[in-house]
Amino acid sequence: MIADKLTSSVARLRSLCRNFFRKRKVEGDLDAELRSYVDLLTEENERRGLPLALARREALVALGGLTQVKEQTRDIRAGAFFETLLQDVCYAGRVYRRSPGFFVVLASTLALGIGITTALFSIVNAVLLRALPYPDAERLVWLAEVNDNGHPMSVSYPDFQDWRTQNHSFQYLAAYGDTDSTLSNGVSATRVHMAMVTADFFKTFGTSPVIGRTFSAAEHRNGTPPAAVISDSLWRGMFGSAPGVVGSKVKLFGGIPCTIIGVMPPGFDFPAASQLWTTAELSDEGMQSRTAHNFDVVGKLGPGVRVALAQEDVGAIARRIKANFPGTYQGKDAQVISLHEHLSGPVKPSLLTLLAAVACVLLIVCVNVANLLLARGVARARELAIRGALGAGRGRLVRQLVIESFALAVAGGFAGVIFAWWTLHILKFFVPLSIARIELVTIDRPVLAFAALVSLLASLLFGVVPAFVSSRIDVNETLKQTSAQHTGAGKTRRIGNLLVVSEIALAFVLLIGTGLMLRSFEQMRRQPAGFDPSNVLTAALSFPVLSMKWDAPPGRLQHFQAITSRIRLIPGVRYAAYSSTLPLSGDRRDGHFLIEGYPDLPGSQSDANFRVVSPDYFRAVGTRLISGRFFSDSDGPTAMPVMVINNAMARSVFPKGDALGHRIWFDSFDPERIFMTIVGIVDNIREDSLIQAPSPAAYVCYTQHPLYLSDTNLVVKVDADPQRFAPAVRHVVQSVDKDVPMTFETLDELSARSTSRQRFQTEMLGLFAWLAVLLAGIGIYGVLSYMVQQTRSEIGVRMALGASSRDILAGILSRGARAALAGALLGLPLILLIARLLSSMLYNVKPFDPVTYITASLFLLAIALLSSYLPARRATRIEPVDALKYE
Amino acid sequence: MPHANLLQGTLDLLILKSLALGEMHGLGISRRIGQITGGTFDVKPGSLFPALHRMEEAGWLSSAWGESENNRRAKFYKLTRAGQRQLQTEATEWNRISLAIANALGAG
Repeated sequence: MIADKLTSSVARLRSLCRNFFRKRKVEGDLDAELRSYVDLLTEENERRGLPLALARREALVALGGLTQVKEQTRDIRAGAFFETLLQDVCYAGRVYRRSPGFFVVLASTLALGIGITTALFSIVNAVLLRALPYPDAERLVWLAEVNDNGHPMSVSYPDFQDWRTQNHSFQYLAAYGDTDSTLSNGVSATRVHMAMVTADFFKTFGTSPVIGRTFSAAEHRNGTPPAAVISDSLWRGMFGSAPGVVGSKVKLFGGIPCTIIGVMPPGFDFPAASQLWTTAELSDEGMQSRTAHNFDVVGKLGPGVRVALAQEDVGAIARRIKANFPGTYQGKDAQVISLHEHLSGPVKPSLLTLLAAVACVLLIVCVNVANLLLARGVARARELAIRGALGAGRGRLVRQLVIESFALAVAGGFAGVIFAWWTLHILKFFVPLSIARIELVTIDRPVLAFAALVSLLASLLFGVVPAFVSSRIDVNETLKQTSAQHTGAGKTRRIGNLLVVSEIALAFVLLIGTGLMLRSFEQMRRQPAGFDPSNVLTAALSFPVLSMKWDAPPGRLQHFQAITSRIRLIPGVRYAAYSSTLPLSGDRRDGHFLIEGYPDLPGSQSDANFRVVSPDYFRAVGTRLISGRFFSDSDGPTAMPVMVINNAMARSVFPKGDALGHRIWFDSFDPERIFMTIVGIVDNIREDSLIQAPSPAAYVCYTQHPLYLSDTNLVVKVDADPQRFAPAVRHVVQSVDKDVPMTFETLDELSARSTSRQRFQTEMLGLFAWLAVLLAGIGIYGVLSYMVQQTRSEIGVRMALGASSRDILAGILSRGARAALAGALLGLPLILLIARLLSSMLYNVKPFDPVTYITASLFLLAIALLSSYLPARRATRIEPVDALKYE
Repeated sequence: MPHANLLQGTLDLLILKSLALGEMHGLGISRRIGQITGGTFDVKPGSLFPALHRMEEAGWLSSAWGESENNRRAKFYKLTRAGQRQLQTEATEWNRISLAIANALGAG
């Protein structure tokens, strides 16, 4: 038996080789064999007494069709599947070579769809799917305290220490805070983003320096001697890749001397693109206070420990601390989430929405291609019928058509990847940093696999239906027709209509989504920002708390005053002022306050942002005074301590409207018990973003809080293009301190940046919606053109019977309108499905905003009428006589 | 002429059996099958040639060009060793099944 199997498989293998390599001989043999069969049969018939001609005819009839027998014999041969597959592929190539225009149009439409889908997926892949670039990244988590209102908040150093020493879940736990700072190396000064980290920070990420070392236990204990680890990019930039960088002395915050002890590998820049790390213990400000929530915490879970378990563990510790220190500023619980989720969470809804939108566009592309293939299938009916008559089964015809679609998808997929690559290069200029760091977005293997999968699915979507419809032909009927015109036209048209309606539905969904986003964005921008960003130049100023230059006589305050009064002298400058934070910057310094003569307010009602400004600040940013007065030059160091509060604070703390005159003490910021008198109420300046509701804020005058004058911003209101004033302003500041680095930004730029994510999202959605509508329009145009062509004679007859061209025009336009209406109705349930996803991203707009729905419907209707108009015009130009002759 | 549908596998057995006595060309095989089945089976070329080619690829038959009785060129098939063994196996199997079916029909 085994021997039999062996000989049998050897025989099969031999046949396989013979069939492939000696194909001509095999074919010749078969031909000769069948001819000999006919000859023998003819001879037999002759012997039965038939004349030669008849004998031969009978023999041929008995054979039952030479090509069919051949075809059936070929089909059983070893390797027949692959051979016919190869034939089909070659045939597909010939089909497309015969009509290259058709192929190019279809392939490039597909390339467009696959390309944008792939480009967007590469962003999703980089931001949401790819693991963080650290060893055991799945074990990294981010921790926060949970405040009384259930919101996450930063962690205080003593709380962190308790978590670190008492937990049973973590291999490493580290705290970090980040800030902007000035770094000078004696030659030049630059602004860097830096992080202050506790011990185990680098171990948590499993990353060690490529040069030098990280911090020692002694350096962590008391922050001395001050040491710094720098990033690869800073090393290459500021230090010219000097191998001997370790041991270099630098100054931080413009003044604190520090020694560089290590360089991290390329790509390590946690948190938030940091370029430099020091020990958290470098400054002991607020390190002992449980109410100073200055740190974020990362941790590496022990092997096999799940997030939920760690949550339970740290939560219990946090609740224990709360029991011992029941103040309002103590977290009541803790939150543990994966670091990946913490980093990607905020952009997830945007990216998923964009991905869904782009999938809609791709579906529409597929529908359009399917429609074109359907129409073409009708035109090819004769060809397919002939192949059927020559012995090709329906399966073979379907396979042929599917292979043609597949070839199309392969071409579209390749072009699509190139298109995606090119798109990413352009996107580089548009993707805001808050969505993705575009340099991390690459077309890697998962993206290529995605593109291949999408192309394959697309070819099934657009290829299979037309293949089955087109291959279902009645050979006799089709071949009897004098022209291919009417074959299956009605059925094909019905399927075509269905496809068009479905793509209109998709386009409608996209239109609605985009409309809602646009409205939401408009709402956001129309929000009263509380300030006027036009013609305002800002510059961050940062230098040491103790600085020889700034504290040289006549003193720091006097230097500051001199700078603003000299800037005021520059022609075109209206106001020059200082502020510890800038509008929309998201910088906040929250503090706890007490009102004289009142009991402590419950919960977070006694928290407010604490800001140090100079008297002209409100005028410089154009903020309205609601009641009382602004600061003035008479609010000097020795005058009565004063305070201006924003409207939000006035309303929440003094609902009776009697804020003016009350005295307030910020115990978080003033160690001495200084009560400041409220002298004015100003409009709410949006400090975090345009979307977030304004929170309570208190402003104090810089002359009365000179300690905060080491980290502030210059704010200059001018008459013309603010950037033009930058050199002059820099010149003035550098006359006091020539080393202070200054980066200028206008308030307009700052405002634009604060909405960059929403803008990007809205613009991208808008782009996709335009594409969708355009493609749907082309779809309507295609189907109606086809219909007009198919029903030429019918139209001709109607016109001969007296129908006016207006009737014809109206008839076809109404078809387009009906398709639009049907599409919109079909789209509505789809919108219900996505309404929840949408509503999380909408601001001040309901997901069922009637204005948007009406506008989108009218727009869709207009597009439908527009794309029906050309075919309709063509129909009215039909000459009845010609149309009937055409038959 | 009565037509019977050829059972799957029956055609193979009939071809093998008709070639048991010696080599034969396609028309000869089809005539022989008609003869030995008393005209029950009429094998059409559309079934015959695919089957012959399939069995040759399986190694049961071998073929060579030769002369017919009237000096016409024709392709002759004959059983290989494997083909003879296959005939035995299939014949045994067929007898077993037909006996079983006959018993089943005869019972009760």
